[in-house]
Amino acid sequence: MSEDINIIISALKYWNIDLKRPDRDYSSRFKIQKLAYLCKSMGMSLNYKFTLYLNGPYSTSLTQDYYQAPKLIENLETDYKFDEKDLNILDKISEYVLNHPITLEYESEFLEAVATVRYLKNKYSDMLDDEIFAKTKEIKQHLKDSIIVLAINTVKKLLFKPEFLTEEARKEMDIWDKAED
Amino acid sequence: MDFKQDQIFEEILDYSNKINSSVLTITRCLLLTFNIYFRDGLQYRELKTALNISDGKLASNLNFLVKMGYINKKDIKFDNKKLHIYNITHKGKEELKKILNWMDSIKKLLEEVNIE
Repeated sequence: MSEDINIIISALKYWNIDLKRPDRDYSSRFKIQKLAYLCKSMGMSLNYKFTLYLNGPYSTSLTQDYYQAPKLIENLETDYKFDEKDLNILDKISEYVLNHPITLEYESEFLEAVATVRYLKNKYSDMLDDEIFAKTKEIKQHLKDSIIVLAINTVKKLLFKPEFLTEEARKEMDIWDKAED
Repeated sequence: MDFKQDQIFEEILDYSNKINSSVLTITRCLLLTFNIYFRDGLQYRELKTALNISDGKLASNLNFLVKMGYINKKDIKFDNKKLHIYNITHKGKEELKKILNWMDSIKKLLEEVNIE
């Protein structure tokens, strides 16, 4: 079992996510995979390797870890402490993904869509939104169009850094805000 | 044919008799293989996208593998929807191993006779 599973358990504990024993519950395994990928893709130091194929992002080594320690995950047992950078990542995922209103009805599918879009953006950094939408739809035919669109916007929020907000961009946003009013 | 080739040939025939030949289709072998890699289990809709085959073909192949005891089908609730999840069984893994052994022995024979 790798040390990385402690980081994942600690993240689940920080978010206060109610999970069942992953060796007995498919939904719990599914959520752990997608959230672990989001943590890694946002910059947390995790060695798990993820692939997109079929029901990805998916990591076989993460799978091995939670099958070896299902009770640790069910009871959220860990003493791992995050630094400020990691806490910032966890807060962003919490704000933009876990607390998104759509999760009330489509929590797993939204998680799947966000993780998939993030994976594609990471792998094909030049892909335009339309292309990301088309690719996601191609490999995840069961996802609703509206969920994919929400996921694309959510990933933009996850990746946004305050330093991106130049004076020029701020002025343009003010114009759009006024237009909305 | 030398003695080693004779041995491998015997091996191939022996493995051939042990295999359930009904599993030897691309779709059925892929369904078993996917389920070994994705230990978490796979949704019907994920298998359909991956294999790009009709519902009828996928359902009949899955039903066959379930009936033979090679995979199991579980009903789950996922985002308040009912879904079917498929997992490989011990019997399914054993069957796949037999197929791999059979293919390995064919490969060995081809290497022995050095086919271009």
